[in-house]
Amino acid sequence: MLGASHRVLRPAGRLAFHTIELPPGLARAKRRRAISIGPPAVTVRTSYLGLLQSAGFIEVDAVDLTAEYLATQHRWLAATLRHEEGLRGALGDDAVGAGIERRQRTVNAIEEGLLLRTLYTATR
Amino acid sequence: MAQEPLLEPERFGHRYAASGEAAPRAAELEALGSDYSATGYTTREQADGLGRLLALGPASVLVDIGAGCGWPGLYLATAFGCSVISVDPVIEGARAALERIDSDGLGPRALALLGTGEHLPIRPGSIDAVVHADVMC
Repeated sequence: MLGASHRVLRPAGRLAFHTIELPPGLARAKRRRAISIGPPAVTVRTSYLGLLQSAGFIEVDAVDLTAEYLATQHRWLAATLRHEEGLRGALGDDAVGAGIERRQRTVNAIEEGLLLRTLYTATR
Repeated sequence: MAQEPLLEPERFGHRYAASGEAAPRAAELEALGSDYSATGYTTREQADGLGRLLALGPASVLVDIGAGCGWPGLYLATAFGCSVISVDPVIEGARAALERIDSDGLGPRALALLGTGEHLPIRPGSIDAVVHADVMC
């Protein structure tokens, strides 16, 4: 996807994206737990800084947004519980129940330092 | 260890199809400050930050990869006046984005395409800025 982004950008065009990733150096058990809780592609082992540079980007930068990620997860959880009845009607009991459980597990994982959220920017 | 598939068309399609429902809209507004059936973590404040970082303006063409129903790409087109190509692999997302383009009057400067980030149906070297929010995770 980074290669395709580089291809469509004009020279000096800019890329910016948010992503959730694992902290470097997690012990094996914590890494396994983070992968089980985090989103599907959180298993990426190579740093995005390296991937961006390999794709040909320059002026690559990263900003940690983990504190904001935790605050947003708390807001999602509170909003989901506040609107739970209506959400169950719109999305179904299974989806909402699983969603609440997933958000609670994610809050715990962020607080334990198992998941990060980062803003990456780069120039073609 | 069992992993969820990277693309979850059933999960996202179901969510996007419920985009007009009151409770999902209210929850999203409280969590993110947006109303685009977004389910991720990019807040309105962060979306505004993306627009400034990418120096978006009326002369810019933006591609939003994995845009779902249009967050943040269609929002950025409205807020910063840029043109946007909204790309998503889920038919319900692309359809909802098209409806939003129509209802927001973005037609002349917005497109919604069905596609993935790996295969963008866009001419090389033609785009000013690319954005994606929690797609590669």
